Amino acid sequence: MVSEQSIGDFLIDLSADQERLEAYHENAGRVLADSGLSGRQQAILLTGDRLSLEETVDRELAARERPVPRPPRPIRRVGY
Amino acid sequence: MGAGSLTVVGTGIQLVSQVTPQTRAAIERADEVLYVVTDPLTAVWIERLNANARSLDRHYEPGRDRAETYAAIVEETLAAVRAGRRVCLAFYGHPGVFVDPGHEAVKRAREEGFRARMLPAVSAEDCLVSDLGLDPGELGCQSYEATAFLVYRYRVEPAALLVLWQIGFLGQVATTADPVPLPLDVLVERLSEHYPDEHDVVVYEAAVYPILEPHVERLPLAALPAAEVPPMATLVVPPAARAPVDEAMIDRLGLPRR
Repeated sequence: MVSEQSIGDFLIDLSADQERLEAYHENAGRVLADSGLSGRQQAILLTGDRLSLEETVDRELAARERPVPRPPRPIRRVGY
Repeated sequence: MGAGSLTVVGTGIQLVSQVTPQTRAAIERADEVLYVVTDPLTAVWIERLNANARSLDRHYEPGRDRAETYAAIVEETLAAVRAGRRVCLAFYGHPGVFVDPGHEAVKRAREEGFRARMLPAVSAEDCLVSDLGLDPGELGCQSYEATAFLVYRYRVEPAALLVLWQIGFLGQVATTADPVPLPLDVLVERLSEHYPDEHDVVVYEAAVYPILEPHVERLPLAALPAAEVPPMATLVVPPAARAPVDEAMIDRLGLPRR
């Protein structure tokens, strides 16, 4: 059985590769077709919905027993 | 000069794609990387880049005053520097824009005789300028943390662009686990002293993933209390008037009249 590539890994690799990222902006379908992601995963990416993406990423990380908590936002100074 | 050193870096707003080559090298070459980022994929990327990386998010306990959190971040960073390590302290965005512990860590390390520097990075303001097509140099720009804007009664210049940061945390000083109601009506009341109710404002939040679009909601000022305000949102108030021209100054400077 071929294990599914994670959306998180796809996003990290895509974001770190500026040429591929530009290609994604030009034609997302073409880049996704070569991504190894399942149709369901590609659909999640194509919705462009941040909350869905974040929930998926959190689920993937939890499944890997790789807890990466989201620190409370913001980390910035409140100005007084 | 001590053996330890400190480099404070920012990872930009968008996942990995806004990291500068200089910042990437600093993360890779450090003996220890301490980080505070809001996106777990950025955390994964940092830990892939440097196996000796760890998150400082445990200092953000619900109910804890932010000043205590920032002091703990600085202290943990300095402890590693004092131990002779080349330390990289990474924040999301720009490490010196709205980041008390970024500046404080550099200042304290230098005071203790260590080499310390802060590298430039892409901030939320940089994303805002690009996404909204605004030029802060065109008519001038006032920029405040939203809670500070209310507390300090700054003088508002309606002829300039006004940017209010962190309206998603208006009136909060402690970390909270759950969303709390925002006193946006108070903010509108204050802004109404200078802008008409129907003046268009923008609720903006940069996209964290480079494949997503930013959150941009344009609405009349009076409608702000009912608006959807994402946690990291910024309020942008475009100018409502033209600044008067000082003709005498134009003559005095020998400038041509337009």
